[in-house]
Amino acid sequence: MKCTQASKYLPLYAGGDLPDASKRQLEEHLAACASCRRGHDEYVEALSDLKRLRRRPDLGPILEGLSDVVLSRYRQNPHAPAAKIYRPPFSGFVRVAAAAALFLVLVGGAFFLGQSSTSSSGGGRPMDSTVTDVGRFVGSGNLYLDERYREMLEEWERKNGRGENPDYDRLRPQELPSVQPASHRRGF
Amino acid sequence: MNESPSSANEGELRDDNEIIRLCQQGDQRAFTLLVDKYQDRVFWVAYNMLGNAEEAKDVVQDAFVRVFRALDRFDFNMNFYTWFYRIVSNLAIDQLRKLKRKRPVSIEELGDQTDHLHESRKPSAKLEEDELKEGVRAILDELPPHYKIVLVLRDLEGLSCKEIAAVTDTSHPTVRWRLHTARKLFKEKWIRQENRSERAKALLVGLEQNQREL
Repeated sequence: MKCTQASKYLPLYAGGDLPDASKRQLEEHLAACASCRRGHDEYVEALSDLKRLRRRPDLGPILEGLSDVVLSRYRQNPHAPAAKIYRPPFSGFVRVAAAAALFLVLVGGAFFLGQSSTSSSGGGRPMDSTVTDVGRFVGSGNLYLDERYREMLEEWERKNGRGENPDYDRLRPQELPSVQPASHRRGF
Repeated sequence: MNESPSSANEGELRDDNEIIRLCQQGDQRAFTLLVDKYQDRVFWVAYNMLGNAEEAKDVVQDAFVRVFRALDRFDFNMNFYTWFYRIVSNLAIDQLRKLKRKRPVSIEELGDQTDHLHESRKPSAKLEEDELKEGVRAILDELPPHYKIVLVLRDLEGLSCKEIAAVTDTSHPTVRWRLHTARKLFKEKWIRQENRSERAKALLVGLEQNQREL
């Protein structure tokens, strides 16, 4: 263990809050490192000073008759705020509903990913140059490629007109037509 | 609330849920039992958070009134004491944020009600101890509330990190992280204070020597 790691463990170790495994490692380090031992001693002294606040006088007279005071305050002002009843954030119906929603999202996500992978790797799929097809084609999940495919499609259509049905699967990056960077061409 | 004939005494009732059930049935003595059981513990949490006995007393009263109002809806799946500690901690933190450094009123100033406890000590020893405690309290007061509450609950009240997580509505790792940071901050400020007092002592010794030489 290095001194940087040991210094992170010291505050919890000094108060007896370090798990056993880390405690053993730290104790080995402390046995060999005088500087960290000094740091540890400082923590122990500081905490023992803090614990002086634990020594308490008897409160008897100070809080005497507290229940009477509370009851009279309760009767005087029946509309005073009540304590909030804290409940675990996911309990009962909410827990079941959250689990069902999570399941649906996971199944939907898996289905969508399966579809998009078949559509982007369907060998030699003929390209129908319609907006719908572009939408399907760009769902690869890779934003850079999506943008490039859109640009390629526009470039192709500008040169050859619609209906030529280029086979996009054969296109490789080096064959891509030269196009302006995406940042200059918004909104197609 | 009425006093029912079946109301309990302390010997019979130790379980909080049992006391709460009696409170829900309108047993006033059960409520008194609940107050007696918890008043000291929560007072010290509030006092260590606020450093002011009067403010702490108000917070405790307010907490009990709120609890009293909510007991009908109490969820028996919860621990009463973690719920109650949470109410007191939140009220104390709110109060701490509202307070603009009022002069602290120590326990001893509340009508010198605790003087008999110190009678056997020498005045100088008591003075030294009080000064030391004041110094420690001043350091504690400098800590941000969410670190301070963790330090108070762990090192002064002896709650476990798991219990503190339930009281502060945070996770166990968050409590451990806050405890780590709080102790580190406390130690740094404590060292600064120690250095200051050592410098002051050295200055006093120097002055005394000068006077002797003159």
